[in-house]
Amino acid sequence: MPGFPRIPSRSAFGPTFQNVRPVKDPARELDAATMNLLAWQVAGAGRTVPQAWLTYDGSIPSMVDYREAFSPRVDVGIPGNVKNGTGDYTFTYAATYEDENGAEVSFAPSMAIAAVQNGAAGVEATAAVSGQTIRVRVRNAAGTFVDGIVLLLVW
Amino acid sequence: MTTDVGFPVRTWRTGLTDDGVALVDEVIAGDPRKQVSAGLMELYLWQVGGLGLAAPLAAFVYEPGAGGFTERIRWGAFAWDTANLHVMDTPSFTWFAATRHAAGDYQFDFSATAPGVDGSAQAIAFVGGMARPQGISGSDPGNLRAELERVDANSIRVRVRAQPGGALTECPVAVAVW
Repeated sequence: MPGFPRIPSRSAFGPTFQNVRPVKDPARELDAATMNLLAWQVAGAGRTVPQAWLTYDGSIPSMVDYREAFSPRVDVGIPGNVKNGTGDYTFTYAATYEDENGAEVSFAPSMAIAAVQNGAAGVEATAAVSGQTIRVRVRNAAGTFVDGIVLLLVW
Repeated sequence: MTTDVGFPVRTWRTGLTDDGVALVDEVIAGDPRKQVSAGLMELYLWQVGGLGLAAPLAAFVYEPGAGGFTERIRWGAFAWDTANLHVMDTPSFTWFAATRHAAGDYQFDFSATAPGVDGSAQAIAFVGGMARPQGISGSDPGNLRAELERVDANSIRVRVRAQPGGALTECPVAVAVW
C-alpha cells in the first residue's frame, strides 16, 4: 500500500522485525525493537495527523499558506479557493494526488475543522465536507456572516 | 533495549533507541541508495519522535441518531489502531462508545487502555481537544457552536448549541483529541 494520501497500516511498513543476533552496540546496530517502534509510530501518527492544512484570509481574499502531507517531494499547488461571499469560502482539493511512487491515488477529505484566527468575540467558523470540497462559513454571535482569517485542518 | 511502548503512549526520541543513544556509522556509507547512514536514520528517528509527540491521538466525525441524522462514526482515526481495525458507521467499537444524552449533547467514552507496539495494554490518556460542528454532504450546519465541555483521560463530552449559549442543537461534530 502506498503512503499519503492513503493511510497505510502497520503492515505496510514491513513485517515484525527480528534481530539476527543480540545487539551488542546499540549505537552501531539498529535494534529490531527500534524498527518496530518506528513502524508503529509512523503508522499511528499517519492515521491521525491532518492530511492538509491551509490558512486563508477571507477579507482580501488570499491564501496565506498551505501544506499537504502528500506533497513532501513537490508542492502540488494551491488548493482551489473561492470566496462565495462575506464569510463564505469554498476550498477544493484534487481528486487524486501522487503517492511516493508517482502513482495517482484518490483523495477525498473526511473531516475538517476550521478555526478563526482573528475573530472578535463570538466569531466562529464551521466546515462542511462534500466530495473534494470543504465549505467554510464564518459567523459572528448574531449569525451574520463576517470575513476572517481561517485555519482549516483537513483529515 | 528499547522500552517505549508507542501509541497510545507518546514516545520521545530518547525512547526510540536504547537509552536514547545516537546512532553512529559502523562504516562510512558509500552509496546512499544502498546504504542507510546513521545520520539518515537519526533524521527518521527525530521526525518520528516529533510526530509521536504532536500528532492527535484520535480524530473522528460523530453523527447523532436524531434530527434527520443516522447515529454512527462517519469517519475515525486512532493512533493506536495501526492495523486499521476500527469499523466505520457504527457508534461504538472495541475501545470507543458514543452516547447521545440529548439533542446536541454527546459523550465519547474510550477504554482505559489500548494495545501498544508489543500488544500489551497501555493507558489512553487524553489531555485536550477541539470540536466543531461539521456539515455533511455539503450542508450548512448553521450558526452552531460546539463546546468541548470536558476532556478526561478517557472521556470527552461535547455540546452543540445554536449561537453562543443558545439551545442545544443536533448536529454532527468533528472532534480531535491529543
